[in-house]
Amino acid sequence: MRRSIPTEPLPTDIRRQVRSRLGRRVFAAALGVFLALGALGFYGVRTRTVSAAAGGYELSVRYASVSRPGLATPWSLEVRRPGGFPEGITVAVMSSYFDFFDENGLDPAPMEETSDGERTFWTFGPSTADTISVSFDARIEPGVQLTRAKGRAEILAGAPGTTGATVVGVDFGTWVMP
Amino acid sequence: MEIIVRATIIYFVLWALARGVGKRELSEMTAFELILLVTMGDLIQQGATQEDMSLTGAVLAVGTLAMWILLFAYLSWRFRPLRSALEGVPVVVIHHGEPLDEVLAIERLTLDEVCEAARNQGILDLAEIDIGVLEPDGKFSFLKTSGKATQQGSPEKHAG
Repeated sequence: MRRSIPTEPLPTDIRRQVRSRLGRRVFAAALGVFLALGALGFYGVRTRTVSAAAGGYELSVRYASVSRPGLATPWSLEVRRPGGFPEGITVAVMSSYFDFFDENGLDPAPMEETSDGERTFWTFGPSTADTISVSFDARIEPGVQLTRAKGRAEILAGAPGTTGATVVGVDFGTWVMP
Repeated sequence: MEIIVRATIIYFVLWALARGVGKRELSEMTAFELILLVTMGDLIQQGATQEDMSLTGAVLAVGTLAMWILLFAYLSWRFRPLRSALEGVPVVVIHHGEPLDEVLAIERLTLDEVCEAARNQGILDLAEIDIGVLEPDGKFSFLKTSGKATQQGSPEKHAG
């Protein structure tokens, strides 16, 4: 004798359907908010500029406060000094910050580049212009995720090539999204 | 923002592609077409996310496609005139047991394909069919003269 296996579905539970619809609406709303934040650039790349002035120098660093792996991420430094830089200038940057980047180089390239392990020193030659601008062409490394990259840039006193005391410095950081 | 715009463009291109290829091709999937589909997915990914290798970028792209799917589904449900434009319309291909040759030609359907679809539903003669419909998703629905409706999956390609 054949066994009867009914294929009739369970009775419809309207309350359950209403709850399910509410769940779908909440999901759609959350998706809309997520995409709206994305459209506004909340997840990067977002840029900021930090500045400080002391000892006759004005230092500005433009950096990405939020970025994502693989994306071109801006970083540039600008130093202003009325009367120019007759003896050149030495800039010190925290080396660990730039470990997060796949770099294509600094523009303009420094006359000399040295490092003490913690900091990298870039020496630029004399210039009659009041402003020296340096930009870094780089992308966040694909393997770097969910990290806060902290950095610091300083102008050093003394003759170029010597690691003298800090005249002026700024802190910055980049939050790398997953 | 860029990734959302790119994903949106890709959604509309794919939608136009799906609407443009025709109902029959939409429901058929040969091994070669499956390979093409996978290749298309790979090409599309590059266009949408480019060098963005982040999880956030991937979720943004997928989320954008999901949002357009939801929006199209809502518009299709809310506005009847839009439904035919967004999803297509069912087409009667057999009426009172007679194949409508002009409709079959427009839909690039052969009589062999209709017969095969009918056979799959246990119909031995097209005369048994009151109305045969090619649905917007490319599947056939047959309403027999007794009033019993049947539907089948993808029809196979046959020359003739």
